[in-house]
Amino acid sequence: MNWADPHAIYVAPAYALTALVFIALAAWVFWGLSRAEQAALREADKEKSG
Amino acid sequence: MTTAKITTKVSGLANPQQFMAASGWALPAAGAIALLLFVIGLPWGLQYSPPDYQQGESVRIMYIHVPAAWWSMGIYAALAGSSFTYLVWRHVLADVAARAMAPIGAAYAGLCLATGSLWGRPTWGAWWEWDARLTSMLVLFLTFIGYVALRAATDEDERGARLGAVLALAGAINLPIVHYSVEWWSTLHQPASILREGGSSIHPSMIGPLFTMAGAYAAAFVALTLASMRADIYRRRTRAAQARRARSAAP
Amino acid sequence: MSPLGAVFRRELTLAWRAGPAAPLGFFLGVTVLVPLAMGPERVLLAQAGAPLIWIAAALAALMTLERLFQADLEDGSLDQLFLADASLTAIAAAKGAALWIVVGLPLALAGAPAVVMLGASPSAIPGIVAGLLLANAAFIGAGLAAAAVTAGVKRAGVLIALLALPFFAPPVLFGAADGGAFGPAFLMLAACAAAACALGPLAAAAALRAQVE
Repeated sequence: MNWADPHAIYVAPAYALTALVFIALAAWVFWGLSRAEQAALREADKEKSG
Repeated sequence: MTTAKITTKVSGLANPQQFMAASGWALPAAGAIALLLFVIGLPWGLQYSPPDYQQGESVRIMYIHVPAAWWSMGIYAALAGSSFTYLVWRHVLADVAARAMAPIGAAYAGLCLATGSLWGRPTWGAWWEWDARLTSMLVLFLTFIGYVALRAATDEDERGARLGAVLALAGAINLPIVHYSVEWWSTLHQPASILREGGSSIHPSMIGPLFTMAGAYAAAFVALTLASMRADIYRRRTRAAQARRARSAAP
Repeated sequence: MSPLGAVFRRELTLAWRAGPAAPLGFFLGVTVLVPLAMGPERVLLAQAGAPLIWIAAALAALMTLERLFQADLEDGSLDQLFLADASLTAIAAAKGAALWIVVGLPLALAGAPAVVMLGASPSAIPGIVAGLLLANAAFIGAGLAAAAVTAGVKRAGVLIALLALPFFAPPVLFGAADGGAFGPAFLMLAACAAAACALGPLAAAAALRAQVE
């Protein structure tokens, strides 16, 4: 990768944006999953004990 | 296969229990594959592949733009297919899948537009052009957004699911309509150079990183969709359990 | 009178009561504001003015879509329509036809003064009015489906716009491209109108069944 190339200034933000989008997507999805799983486990416990 | 066997297999897939069991291993597998392919593909595209004779270093954007374009369209096809399945067979899992896929498709379409814009500026001199490909990708993005907005505005019940399914299918018809109506005008975007008669016209050294990234995007889509679906099923279980408790508590 | 005829009469009466005033006022308002906004530069208006008729028409049509199914869903008339001895697709088409007669026709006729106000040549008037008749049919056809899908959603206005606008793009594109010349773009516009009139009520019927089941 020749960073002196005049077109290089467009490549870096494009790759950075891609990485950002995937990290954000993964974070959102997996945080939602863990929350949903926790809630379901809590409900299951309540049903057992209640 | 007899009709009875096919029906049993399909309805087996529709069983949430079986889905949870299968996705229990499929999700980590897809996630691992995605991670591996990204780790290989990103440096390969960014550093360890040759620049283009004409475009210079900006051709590297192809490795993140083209897979996003391919898979945003593939995801919409999957969304339309799930919606059709839901409308015809009423399998809850088909609706769960549709809801899960839409935001990911929107993200891929948005990424395609943004990276395409960053690629277009140095190569064509323009951030945007109203040709058939770009415009229909924009419409695809808006259709995904519209679907997500509709599902958010309707309740999480069968009515909301059916309405979403109708919208997804109507959008499927609209996409080729928009594409061809804009193509009626001249197009600036590069004509097909990958799937073309006589084989690809891109340099073989570029195929490696491109297909690696395509695989990464696909595996990421599968992993994210499975995770979203699992979350949705947990939420439905929670709601069902709460409803049961409320009913048994009522005098 | 046949059941479908009765439904059509009902729809016509309801549409008439709501009236074309609001979309017409909006359309004419836009066509007045545009030249004011563009300033005294005649050249700019001549180039960019006429296509704006199509945008104004699309937005005006968008305004009327909410009234298609919202009220019927709220007061239960939709269930009554289900019981009518006519197919849901035909009923949706009747609603669309009534809206086209009450709103689409006046809107198309208002295109004539709009053409003049926006700096296009008066010879384009017949072509643009005819084009607007077709475009309004296309907008309403697509709008039927969008309205049926969003009926019952609170504050559906923005959502209808988001869902309908991708379908509005081809008629706007072809209408503006034709510019009143009755050329090949006009034929494409007619094709859009035909497709919307055929498919829109079908999609709307599917959405209505989803609403009420």
